[in-house]
Amino acid sequence: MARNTVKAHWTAWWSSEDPLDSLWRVFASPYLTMLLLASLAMLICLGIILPQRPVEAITDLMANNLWLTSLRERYHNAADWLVRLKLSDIHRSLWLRGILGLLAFNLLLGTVDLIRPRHGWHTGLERKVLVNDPVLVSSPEQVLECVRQILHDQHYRYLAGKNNRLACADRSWTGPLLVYLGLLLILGGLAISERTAWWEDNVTLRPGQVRPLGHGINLAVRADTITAKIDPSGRKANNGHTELAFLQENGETTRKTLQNLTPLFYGSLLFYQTSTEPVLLVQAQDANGRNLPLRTPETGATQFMEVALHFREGDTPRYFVVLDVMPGSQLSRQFQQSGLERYVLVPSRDLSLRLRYNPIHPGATTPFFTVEAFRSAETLSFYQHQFHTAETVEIAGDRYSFQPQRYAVIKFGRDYGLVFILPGAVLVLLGIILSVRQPLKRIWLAIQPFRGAVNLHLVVNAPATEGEPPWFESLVQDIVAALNVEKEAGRNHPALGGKT
Amino acid sequence: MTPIPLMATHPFLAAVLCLLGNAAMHLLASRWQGVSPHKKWQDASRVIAGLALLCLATGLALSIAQRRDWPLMTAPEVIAASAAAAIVWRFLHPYHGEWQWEALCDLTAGALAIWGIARWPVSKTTSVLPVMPQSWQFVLHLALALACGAFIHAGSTALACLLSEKRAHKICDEGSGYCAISLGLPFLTASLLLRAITGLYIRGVYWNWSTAETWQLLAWVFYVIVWCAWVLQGWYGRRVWVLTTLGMSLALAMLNAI
Repeated sequence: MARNTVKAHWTAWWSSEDPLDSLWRVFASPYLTMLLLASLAMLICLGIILPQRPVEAITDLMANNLWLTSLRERYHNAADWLVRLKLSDIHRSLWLRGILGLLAFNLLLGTVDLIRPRHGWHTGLERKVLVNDPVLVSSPEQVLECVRQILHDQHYRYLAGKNNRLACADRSWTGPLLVYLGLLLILGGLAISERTAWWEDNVTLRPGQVRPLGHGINLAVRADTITAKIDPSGRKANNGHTELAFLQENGETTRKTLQNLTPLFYGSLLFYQTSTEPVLLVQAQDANGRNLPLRTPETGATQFMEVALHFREGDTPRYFVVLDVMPGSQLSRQFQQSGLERYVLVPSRDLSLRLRYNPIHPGATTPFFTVEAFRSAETLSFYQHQFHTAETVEIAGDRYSFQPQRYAVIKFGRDYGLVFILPGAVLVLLGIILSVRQPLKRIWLAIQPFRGAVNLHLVVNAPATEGEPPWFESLVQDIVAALNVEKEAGRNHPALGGKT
Repeated sequence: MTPIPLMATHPFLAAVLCLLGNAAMHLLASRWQGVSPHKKWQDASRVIAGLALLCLATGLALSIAQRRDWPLMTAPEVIAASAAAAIVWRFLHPYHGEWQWEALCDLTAGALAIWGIARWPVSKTTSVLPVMPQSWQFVLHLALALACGAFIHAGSTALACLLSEKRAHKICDEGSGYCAISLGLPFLTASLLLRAITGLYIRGVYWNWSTAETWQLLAWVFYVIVWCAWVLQGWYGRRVWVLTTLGMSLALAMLNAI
């Protein structure tokens, strides 16, 4: 039983004579892979059980404070510990990064060991079979050559070791190697993504608007035409497209069409169009034709001669925070106005306009806008009007022009990590499919002259408690038959450094 | 979308009855004829399991016909498909232990079918991603159902082996539970890969830690541990049976999170 304890494993792995080799053995061990994967599973479990900070709270300080307040209301003093230990933010925590980093190191050493297994000879935990030959008079080299031939016939890869007295043979190692390489690619890709990837989300583009891409890229995009087909059922259309012109210092370089929910590649950049939404351009002039300064709640005290009001189709609020304090019971708090409503303030007239976008409804033919005007702090509007095309109306003696357009909501960025992550995942899949049919079969051989005979030691990578794997028994039988020797189990070779 | 009438669940109820009847037959036949009953009992068991599979397939077809949509778009359909997959894998990877414990395979598949019925009527389409094309969603859910079916079948056979060994000290086929690794893990990996590709194609985000994704990742990590134990460490027998039995709960959690 002592053979199964962690101490016994550690003793077998660790050799004070060669600490570096021992360290290699520990860090390349599949046991460590399993331990790290179990830790990763535990961390994912904690991520499911414990409340995790939502993305909205990460990007917004006010939302973050609200979320923390709700967490403290729910968990009292434990909330501080959760935050301090980063357990409320596991997916971005050092815990996760540490485990993944260790796993990558373990997989790297494991990959080297799979390609050239030279550190398994010293293991003393696995089952050993001693083939003793008191009768056969042959040199150790001849015995090893005979075994090599048997292994070769059974499609084993034979790797000779020190002094031609030690060797390793394995079969079906390509599957595990592909899985290891695939996992390494995924972890490497994740690291590259974290360090170098960038995304610009929720970028709005009106027709004709030029947007420099930034991030040190000498490139800008211009939305030339933005179209969207309206679904007659009243649902939001998904088939809008935008014609993008890519601009550099010397002018337009190319022109591409960006479809909804379909990526567009340009250079090393990825572009996505999330949606195309309605926008309304508003201008105001007094009776003498002079422009009136306008403000919106979003732009604060800054005044403009023309404002562009962006609407969001559907009834989703423009801004909300989801407080995911208890798994499964989401609490949402809503701020500001609906995505279909916008306000324009006219400070010089102490007037405000409420503009509402009305998406197409069943039975209607086209979406339309409504405008309501309010004086000072009054809650009842003194003016109401509907329109669906560009129109100029008179409100309280001033002329207000409204021009409906559409704008594109796009996202763009660069992520070199994807080049590694996706092929890595495919490799993992291939490796798993390959390896499950033929699990890794690996044996270590050691040859030792002993009292005029030759002892052949065979070590297999299987737990001793479960008995020898059937394939190993069959292989030993083949060797015994070929060498015409006796078989003795459970003895160890001094060269292996194992225990009796 | 209008709720699906109860009629679609009738074949599922028939499948549950078949599976429960089969389980009862296993237990009774073992009592009357010992651990190795006559071949006719074994043939009858296979026919009844095939009938249950047919009923589940009919139920799924009815549900699809009534929704006039792609198959496996709803959580109950995926659960019922998992039960059907468990039966299919049972035909391909039969249990080789004490006959009476094979009742566990029927009971787990039956329990899955009952769970599917309990989540009826379907009033809304399951949405893995808000705008995922239905063809992608179908393939993704099919892979998930096949994986869950394999995990459930492997878990129930592993449990049967553990019980068989404990009660009668009879060693099962060492390969019991192998189905979880040979079939379940590749299908689950394919499902995760498809999900990532779809997310990347549509939104530029291959992973967003949603509940369904997190449970799938947890199950995947767990079965990769089992893979390491099986393929690299040469574990087999009781250790793998315990792990695959535990893995059943993760398969259920995955289905619950759809």
